[in-house]
Amino acid sequence: MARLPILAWEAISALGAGREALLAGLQAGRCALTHDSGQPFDTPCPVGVVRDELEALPAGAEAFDDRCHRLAWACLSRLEEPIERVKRAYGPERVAVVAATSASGFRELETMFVPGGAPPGFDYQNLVSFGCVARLVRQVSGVNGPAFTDSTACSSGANAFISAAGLLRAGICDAAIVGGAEALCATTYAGFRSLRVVDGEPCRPFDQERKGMSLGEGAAFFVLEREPGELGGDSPFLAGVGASLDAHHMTAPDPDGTGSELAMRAALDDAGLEPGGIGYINLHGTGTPLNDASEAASVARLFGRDVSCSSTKGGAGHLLGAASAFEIAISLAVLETGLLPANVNLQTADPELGISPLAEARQVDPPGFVMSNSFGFGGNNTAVVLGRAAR
Amino acid sequence: MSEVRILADGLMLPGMVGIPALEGWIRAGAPALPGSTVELPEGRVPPKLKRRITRLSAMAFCTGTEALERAGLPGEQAPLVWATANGEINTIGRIMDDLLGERGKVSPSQFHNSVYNAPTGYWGIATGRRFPSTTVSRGWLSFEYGLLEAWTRLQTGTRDVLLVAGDEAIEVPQWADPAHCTIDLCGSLLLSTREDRPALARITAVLHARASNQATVLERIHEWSSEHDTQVMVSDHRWEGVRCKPEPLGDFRNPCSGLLSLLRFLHAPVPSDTVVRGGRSLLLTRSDQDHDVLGVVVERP
Repeated sequence: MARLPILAWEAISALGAGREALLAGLQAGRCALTHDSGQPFDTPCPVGVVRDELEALPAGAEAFDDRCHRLAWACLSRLEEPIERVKRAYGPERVAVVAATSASGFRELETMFVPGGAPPGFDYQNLVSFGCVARLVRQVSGVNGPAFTDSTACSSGANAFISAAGLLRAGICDAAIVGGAEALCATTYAGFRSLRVVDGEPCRPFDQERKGMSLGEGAAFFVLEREPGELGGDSPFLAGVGASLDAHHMTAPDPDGTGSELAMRAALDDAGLEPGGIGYINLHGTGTPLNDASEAASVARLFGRDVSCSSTKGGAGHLLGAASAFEIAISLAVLETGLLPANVNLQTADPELGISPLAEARQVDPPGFVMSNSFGFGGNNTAVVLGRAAR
Repeated sequence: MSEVRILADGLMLPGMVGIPALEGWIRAGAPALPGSTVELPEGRVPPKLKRRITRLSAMAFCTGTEALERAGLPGEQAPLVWATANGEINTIGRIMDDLLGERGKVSPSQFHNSVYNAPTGYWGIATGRRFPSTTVSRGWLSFEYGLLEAWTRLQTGTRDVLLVAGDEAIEVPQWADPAHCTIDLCGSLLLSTREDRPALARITAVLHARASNQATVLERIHEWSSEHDTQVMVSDHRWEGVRCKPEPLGDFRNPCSGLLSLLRFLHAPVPSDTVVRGGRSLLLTRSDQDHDVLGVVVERP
């Protein structure tokens, strides 16, 4: 497909607020997962909590005020300059918003279910109905283009990129603000624990002793442009997208990874690349025995044992509805810096898996293309290829 | 621009399962609907899913397969776009009630049913098809944004898209707000760029506008209306002075009711009172609290 320049990005997670904090966390291979979560619910298993003070939403957006939206604002407030640039270049009505979440304002909604805790007049439309994330982004960004939310569980962010790519390629808009946000909440924490897929210690994706995932929270947002115009001359770009359904089970992946392989192949085709063109893969790698085995099977078939790859979920956890956006940000950081991030917490790679995740971060010449995988409940598989201009 | 055609459709409303039932309802003068809940027909959901699938996912499955069957393409590998405002909100409410109320825990067989994309997951499992799929949401414009998503896919190389849209009546007592969804509604459109099959209608434009004040939006709608010589349907009764049809659900409310307006237009006898100035086209527009307006221009043959 036509390459879509990514003018700027920002992220927030347990590794810190802003791109510099993320880059420092990746450089250090830091694990920010902790038992001491400070959450309003018990967290016997460690989580990745955003510790930074979250700034209140700006004037005019007060009705949207909740933690999920504040996480989004932490990114968007840092993207003010590129957002103003695309508004000036194309007009606010030509800038679209595609957001991603899989829990939106559940954290606030939960207060209604605590006996005696229901606040009167809970603002469902602005805090919970998932389209509110896109509406919030548009409100604080001052743009007037189409705005909606993609929600496909843990692959929501990649589907937001797919939707935005459609809007840009079809000429519905000239620029797009894309990203995802997710706040930790009791419901998803308890839900994943009920499935017995949460590790009691910080998660260890692809390790032979891996026992499950660790949950996290955060956000990542991006400014995309339709054509490499004067704004995004040598920006990294969205090169290709791919998606599939597993058609297997609501929570368990197809053990052979047939569905995820289809998504990766589709993304490669869309980017016009062979597998050898990919210099690094940010794996979905949740840390559950089944998910990692399924993904490793398809990655090994397509790319072989030696492809540079890692799951970064041992750092900030699994950001669920924001995971895909957050890991696309990490993948862009790889293109920009050449730092291949470590598969944090990996001690002994599972020899059965047939891939070689990076135990340590490695500095290389920045690759030309990287891939980011995200798979969600309902067997929703996605892969995104990102590239940069040859230097 | 590729021409987008509506090959077939499907629908479920209380007391109205399937397009033939819709046609009967239109012929009878669109009488009041008998209740708020769809009774799922026997034998439509594959037995292996019957005990696990949510009601909303079952409605999505039934209406999606209806469109494919009516188009004579029951095995088609069309990518699926699922559009919903509230998703599996009743399941979410039950889970929160279980967790935060007396029970104090979440049922492992319920949790995965809470995701917005549960219907597409069940669709894949039921059909064995592995095509791409997404779930889009945008409050009272969810169906219209689903149509925009399908439209952009069709404009960028995808031949067919199955759009399924719906919401269920909210049964969570914690927020009994009359502004919420009060009736089950689910429907589908099989959209295609292929020209070798009969079609119900073609979509000639999908339009978006937003202005910071209502007057500008109204002006924009009037412009579209005169440019396309079409009838205007708006969901928002505050807009006096615009030729409009009222909400098609009577006293009930559903975020995806724009889909019902479109299906009524597709299946009304021509000419009929739903078409003004003898035209065969419809400009279906909806707006929300953000003065966001999405319009779709549909032309019958």
